[in-house]
Amino acid sequence: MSEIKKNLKYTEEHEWVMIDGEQMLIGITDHAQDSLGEIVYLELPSVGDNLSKSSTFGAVESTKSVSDLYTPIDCEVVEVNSGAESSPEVINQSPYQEGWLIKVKPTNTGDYDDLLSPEDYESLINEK
Amino acid sequence: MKATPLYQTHEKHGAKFTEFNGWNMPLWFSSLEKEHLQVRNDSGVFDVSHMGEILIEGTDAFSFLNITFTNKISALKNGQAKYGFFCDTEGNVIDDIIAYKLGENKYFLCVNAGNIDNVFNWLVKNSKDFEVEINNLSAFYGQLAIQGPNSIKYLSKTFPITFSKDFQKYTIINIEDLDKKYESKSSFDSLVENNFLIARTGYTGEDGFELFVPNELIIEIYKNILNDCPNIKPCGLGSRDTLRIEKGFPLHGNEFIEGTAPSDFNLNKFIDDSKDDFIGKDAILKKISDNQFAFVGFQMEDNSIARNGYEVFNNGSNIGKVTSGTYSPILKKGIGLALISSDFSELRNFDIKIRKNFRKAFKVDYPFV
Repeated sequence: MSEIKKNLKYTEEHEWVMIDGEQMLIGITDHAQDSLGEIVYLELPSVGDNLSKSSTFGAVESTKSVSDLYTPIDCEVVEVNSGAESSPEVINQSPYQEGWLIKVKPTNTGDYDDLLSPEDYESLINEK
Repeated sequence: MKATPLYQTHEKHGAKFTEFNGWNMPLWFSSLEKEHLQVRNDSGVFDVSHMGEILIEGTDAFSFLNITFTNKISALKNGQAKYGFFCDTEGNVIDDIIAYKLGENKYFLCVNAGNIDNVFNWLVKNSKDFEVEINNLSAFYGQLAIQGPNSIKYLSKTFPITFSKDFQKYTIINIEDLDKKYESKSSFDSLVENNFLIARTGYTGEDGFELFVPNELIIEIYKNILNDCPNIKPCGLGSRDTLRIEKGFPLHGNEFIEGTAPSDFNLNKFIDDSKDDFIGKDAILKKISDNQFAFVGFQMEDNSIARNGYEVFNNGSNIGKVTSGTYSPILKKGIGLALISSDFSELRNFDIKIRKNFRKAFKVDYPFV
């Protein structure tokens, strides 16, 4: 069973969002990393990039396949996880902690409320 | 979606499944990379029961296969195999196959999963002037590929009688041990009764074997092999793909798509131009002299991975496409195969567009490992 953290919000494309003071952390879920298999490459945006909700902000690749990363909220990138860029396997090992992808400043705070609750995300992945 | 008889067995082994050519097949069990290395270094077993088997027999079987198949079969001895193509009159690949000669005027073909009906119908259509019987045995046979340098050692324990015989690469023999066990007629004569064949062929670039066994017995046979040989590990189609890309082997659906000829992919050695004729011969010979394409191997300079369909550029102009690309578990780099315009065949470096960015790649001779 994939782990779903109670303190996070989720997207239908299997990203998670965590509130961190005025900023937010974004990563991919345990379910996502498990479906992808061994992650070998990560493509992330640059600090200062403005991202709009639902646009792609990068890609995560396993040996077998590539998955786009979708922006959960309108935001500006303030930090990228360079550790995960150089050692992408950390996303498999720790998708909710060391394997976070980007830290952002939300530019439309209302977006956060539209994200999926842990319960909704759980039913989404159980449907499939 | 279709499933092989081993579906539930794979489920118990923890398989993650994927759709491939209409079949629900294991993609990997525990880890694609581990399975890849298992095959390179030791031995792994793939369920490839989705592959098709077609039998051609009758007075004109030789002359019929000779005129439909691109490669030379006249010198084949009983049990020997040849890789080659069925092409249309335009010289384009219908399928790449292995033809095994079972006896005089008796040939057993292994064809691609997504292509069984297509090949069968094409053969039937072209057989009108020949005394041949063409049988699609795909529903009868399941197939296991046991691949890797130690496969021979392990299988010799399970099938001691079979492996006591001289068993050359690219040949097929009966699995006498199974004939005995299931009291079947030990011969190539009747392929639709209990019949067990093993060929020293494969698609991984390692020494290995492909077993053709009846679907109704495959679960038991598979379990017995894994019990007798615990070092042979179940592997999924994910590693089968990365293994073949590292060796530069073409795949139907990636390299061979509508409108591509064997000569586009440096495969002229599987075309016998000394034959009087075969379907597509003139067109293929013209393609060879036109020399429109170069098929090249490449490695990415950074850690990115170029995949099927990505475009290849030289100084900003598009010169071709990636046909297969992956992360190589052995090289730990992105590698791939690309079909480019032959004007650029000597190019050492090019750019590949990966999403929004152009990434640098350099030419490498394949096999990559």
